[in-house]
Order: sequence, then structure tokens, then C-alpha cells
Amino acid sequence: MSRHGRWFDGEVAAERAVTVTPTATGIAIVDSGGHSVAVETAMLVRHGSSSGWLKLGHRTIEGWRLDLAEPVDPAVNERLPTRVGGGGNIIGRETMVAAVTVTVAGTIALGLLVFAPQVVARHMPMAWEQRLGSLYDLPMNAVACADPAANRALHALIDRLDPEARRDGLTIQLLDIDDANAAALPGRRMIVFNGLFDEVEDPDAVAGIIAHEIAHVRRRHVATAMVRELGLGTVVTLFGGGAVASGGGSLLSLNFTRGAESEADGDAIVMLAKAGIDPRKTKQAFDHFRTLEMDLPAWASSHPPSAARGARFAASYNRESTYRPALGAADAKAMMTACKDKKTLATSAPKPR
Amino acid sequence: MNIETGAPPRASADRAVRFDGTWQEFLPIALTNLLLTIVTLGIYRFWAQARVRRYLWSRTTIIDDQLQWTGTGGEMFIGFLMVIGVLIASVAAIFGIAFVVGEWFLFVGLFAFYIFIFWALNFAQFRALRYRLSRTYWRGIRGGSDDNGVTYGWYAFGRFLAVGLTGGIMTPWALVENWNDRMNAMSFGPHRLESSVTTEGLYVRWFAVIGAYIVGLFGFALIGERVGGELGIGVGVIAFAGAIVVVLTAFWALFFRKVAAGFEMGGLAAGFEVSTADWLKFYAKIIGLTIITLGFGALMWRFWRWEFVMDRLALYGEIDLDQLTQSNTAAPKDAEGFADAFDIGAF
Repeated sequence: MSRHGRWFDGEVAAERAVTVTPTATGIAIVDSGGHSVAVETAMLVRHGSSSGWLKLGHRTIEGWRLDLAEPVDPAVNERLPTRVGGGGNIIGRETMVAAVTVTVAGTIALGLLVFAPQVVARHMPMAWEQRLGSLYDLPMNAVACADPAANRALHALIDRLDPEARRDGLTIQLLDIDDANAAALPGRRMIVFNGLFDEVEDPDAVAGIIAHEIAHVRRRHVATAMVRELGLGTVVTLFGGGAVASGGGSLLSLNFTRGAESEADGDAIVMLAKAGIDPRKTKQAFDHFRTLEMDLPAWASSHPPSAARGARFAASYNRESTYRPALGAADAKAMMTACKDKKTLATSAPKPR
Repeated sequence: MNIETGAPPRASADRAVRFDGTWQEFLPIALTNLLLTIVTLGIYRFWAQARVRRYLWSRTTIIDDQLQWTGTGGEMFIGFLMVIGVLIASVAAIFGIAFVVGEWFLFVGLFAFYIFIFWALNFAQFRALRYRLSRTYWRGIRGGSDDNGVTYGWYAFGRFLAVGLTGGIMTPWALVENWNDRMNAMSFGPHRLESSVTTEGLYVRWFAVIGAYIVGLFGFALIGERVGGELGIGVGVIAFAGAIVVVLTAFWALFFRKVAAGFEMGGLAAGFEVSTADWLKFYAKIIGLTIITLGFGALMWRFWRWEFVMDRLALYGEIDLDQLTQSNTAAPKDAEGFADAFDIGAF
């Protein structure tokens, strides 16, 4: 156990060989000439060990350094600060713990941000979603198309794609809007614009699109997206400015939507296969919209490139399967000409008084 | 104390400068630094820098005592904030005044601001060196400078202006003069650092650099045409980049040999006999190791560079420890603020 040390006083580079002894409140440094200097424990800084020396500094005297030969006499060691402070502390345990904690917490927070919406949405009561969905009633009813034959045909199509769907509360509404579109809404609702039948002229292709929307409803993608937007929006707005919120938020939800779209495509392909409807027609619809170079309708845009999506449908075609048309001739005609005969509809509806 | 032990063999106990750090010790520092820098969105980098220096310094022995780094992350962070504050305030003031006196001031003000930035880049390089010396202790003694670097900033700016106006030809002169000016303004303990580097030999290598650019560009076009296609372009680019790397390394290798040889301090002289081939081998090694380790080797670059330099840096002469007394230079408060704000080094 050593009490030997070398001392640099911060005045001159030459060292002094010293002996260190414990005192009541610190240590005494005694040089070979017998001169003694007392230093209180509170004034010492422990820098850590290197090359067989324990290195100490002084809080107020610059350059002051006392190296104690290791192992240090326990009686002296008791008078030294225990914590390693600025200087020799190479890897602080606290720093490590802090780093790991912050990283793990950050990862969990990020994970929650990304995955929590899906979990929350899946467990959100359907009643909430339906209440939200009913907000659409008024605007939707205003443009609804009351063509009974076309509506019947759409129901027949849904029943063939997913026989349980309507029993499970899924509803579809045909809207008289001249725009090729279809969408899933909150509360197990689907809408189809009759403009869709002008661009997609094959009932089998319509079947692919409807199957895709059914999948969105089944997987509660709508609710997930809403929870995500609300949650993300709130979080991002709290942390950043408005610009960050819109930019960052839409980026993240776009990412999410890709996953959802791809999932819905997968489900749609399965539905088509089960129902025995030729999936290649859906691919043709994708191609058709691409060649139009128009703003792609919601069901075809925003997500994985439509060429790749179409190809996926085409790839699911099985030469050994027997495919039948999605709808019988009468239903097909009714659907494809939905709300076209405005005159008939007008006369069939009660006249306002 | 007599220390005529500067010459190799490298890393032997007889050398005046020794580095005995190990990658096993350094890697955890670098890794945790990276981690903390990421999770703090970069703010930790000042503390990361302090930890790295504390480690590298503490494993570097000069004659018989390890260097000690006493700089802290906090002071570097504050220095950085001060400088960023000055920059933001300047720009705000320019726009503010322009708002009052008219748009013409924007032109004048921003022009003056760019001049200020170029001055500040050189000023920062000076301050970074001064700061590092003031936080480096050996046997309880530190270095520093009483020169605030303001004048140096203008001189260095003027020299680089001359370089620009002569199409880069005067680069060796500017580099050497700036180096000498910086070094001669510094001290360690009571001893001034003395640097008397000349441009001798540097011009030849610098013209080789310029020549390589010119020849390389023509050669690039020629090879591209002869071989043709993407392959031609690929071969051309590699040949061009390779030639530039070699001539630039040759220039800097000589530059660093010269600055070491031109150094003196209180009876000590230095040497750094590292050839162009040594540097090229070194960079090939660290790039190779980085590729093999899928990029993680980049965490070790700082360590490898320090090791490479310290293993080859030699000191000659005698130093009287009784005469090496504490420096009475002022310890700078802005740390490396300017250097950090512009992300440049001390050398």
C-alpha cells in the first residue's frame, strides 16, 4: 500500500517526489525537504488512473496535479473524492446508462408513433366510427344515385366478392358524380361514383376495385388513418411549427398508406380468386388510367406505383382456374349504366310540391 | 532533462512521443458519442469532442508524462452559441437597417457580411489552435497565446485573396505564411513556439497538383473518347481522381514534414518524417478497414489519425523542467466557438 506520489504544483513543470498522509479533513503532501501542504478533500478532483498512477487535480489551482502510485494506501484513499470528475473519466457509467435510456425511450416513442395508430384503431369501438361516418350522410344523400337496378347489381357484386360483408354491416352508396372514383369511409361505408363506369368499362375490373375497397373496410384502414392523422398531427404540431406538421405528417401517412394499399391489393386478389373473377381486367384498368395521364383517382394513385400494382393483379391469374364474369349480363348492364337515365329517375322520384 | 530520443523505432518506450491508446478503449467512447449525438440531434457533439480529446491526450506521453486535456463540452457549446448568436444578430441587423434606410443597404451589408465571414474563418482557425493549447497540460503546464487573432484574421484573409486573384498559384506561400504566423503567436509555458517554415520545394509539388488537374481533365476526355461509353468515363474518372490524390498527398506530405522541421520551442525541435507513400498506405488502410467493417470503421478515423501522427512525431533536444513555468496567457472563453460554427480545425 503506497503513500508515494509525484506532485506538480502548476507553477513549474519539474515534479516533486512526495509522501501523502491522511488528515482529518483531507490529505497532507510532504516533500523530501519536509515541507507539508494540506489539501481538503473538497478541493480535490479525481481524474482516474493511467500508467499505474491515480491522478488528482485541484479545483482552483490550474495545472496542479498529484499522482499517487497505485495501489493507494486505503487510509489515504478514504480522504479522496470517490466520484471520477472531469479529466480522466473515459467512459462514465452514467453517460452510458443515459445514452441507452434515451435511445431506448426514443425508439419506443417512435415505434408508438408509427404502430400505435393501428393498434388503437383496431380496438376503437365501431360505434364511434359509425357516429363519425354518419357525418357524411347529408352530403352523400344529396348526390346519391337512386338507380335501384344499379344498386342491386353492386350488392350482388359485393356478395360475390365477400358473402359476409353486408351481413357484417358494410354498406355501399352509389353517387351521381362524374368522376372515376371509389372510396372507403368511416363506419364500414363505401362509396362509388358512377363516373367510374365511364372509364372502367369492364365489370370484372370494377370487381377488382370494389374488392380493394372492401379490404380497406375489413382491415379498418380508414380508422387507422384517422387516428394516425389526428395523433401525428397533434404530436408534430406540438413539437414543430405548422409547416413541419403538414410536411412531416403527410410524409409519414403516405408511408403508412403504401402499406395499407398494398395490403388491400393483396386481399382483393384473394377475393377475386375465391370468387372466380379474372384479375387481369383489374390490371387493364390500372393501365388505362396510366395512359390517360390524368390525375389518378384515389384508388389508383398515391401509393405503390400503379404499374406495379396492376402487374401484381395480372400475376395472380391462374391458367387452370375457370373464371366467370363478375356479373350476369343484366346486372352488368344496370351497373355500367348507373344513373344514366336521368329522365326515368326524375319521373320515378316523387315530385316536390 | 535530455531527450535526444526522438528517432524511431516507432512506439518503443524510448521515443519522446508515444501513444498507447487501444481501439478497445476508444471504440466504446466513439460509439456512445455517436449514439448521444444522434439522440440529442447533434448538440452532444461538443461533449463528444471533449471526451475524445480527454482520451487521446491522456494516452499520449511526451517524454515521461501524459498530456492532459482540460477543455469541457460545456464551454465549447457556450462558445458555439456565442458565435451563432453573433452571426444571427449580424444578419438580423443588416436586414433591420435595410428595412429602415432602404434596399441598397442590403447589398452593402451582405457584402460586408461575406467579408466578415472570410475573415472569421481565419480568425477561427487561430482561435481553435489557441484554445487547444490553453487546455492542454503537460506536467501541470499549459500553453496559450496573448494574441487575440484579430490581426491574423486579416492577414490570412489578404493572403487567400492573393491566392484567389492569382488562380491558386500562390497557395504554398499563403499556407506557409499563415502557418508561421499562427505558430509564432503561440506559447507553451514561458516558451514561445517558433516556426520558420519556407516554401522551398512546395512550389514544385503545388505545380504538379495544378498540372495534374489540367492534364487530368484532358486525359479524362481523351480516355473517355478512346475507350468510349460508360467504361471510358469510369476509367477516366478513376485515373483522374487517382492522379489528384497522389499529387495532393505528395504536397501535404512535404508540407507537414516542413512544418515539423521548422518548429522550435524552448530548445526542443520536432521531426515528422512521413513520406507520401506512408500517407497513401495509411489512407488505404483506414478506407479498407472501414469498408470491411461495413462503415463502422469510420468511428475509428479520429483514433487512427492521431495514432498515425503520434507514432511518427519526433522531438529532439533538451528541456529544462525548472525553467518550464506556468503560462500566464489568458485562457480564452469562447473556446472553439468560431471554429465550431464553421466546422474547421486548428491546423
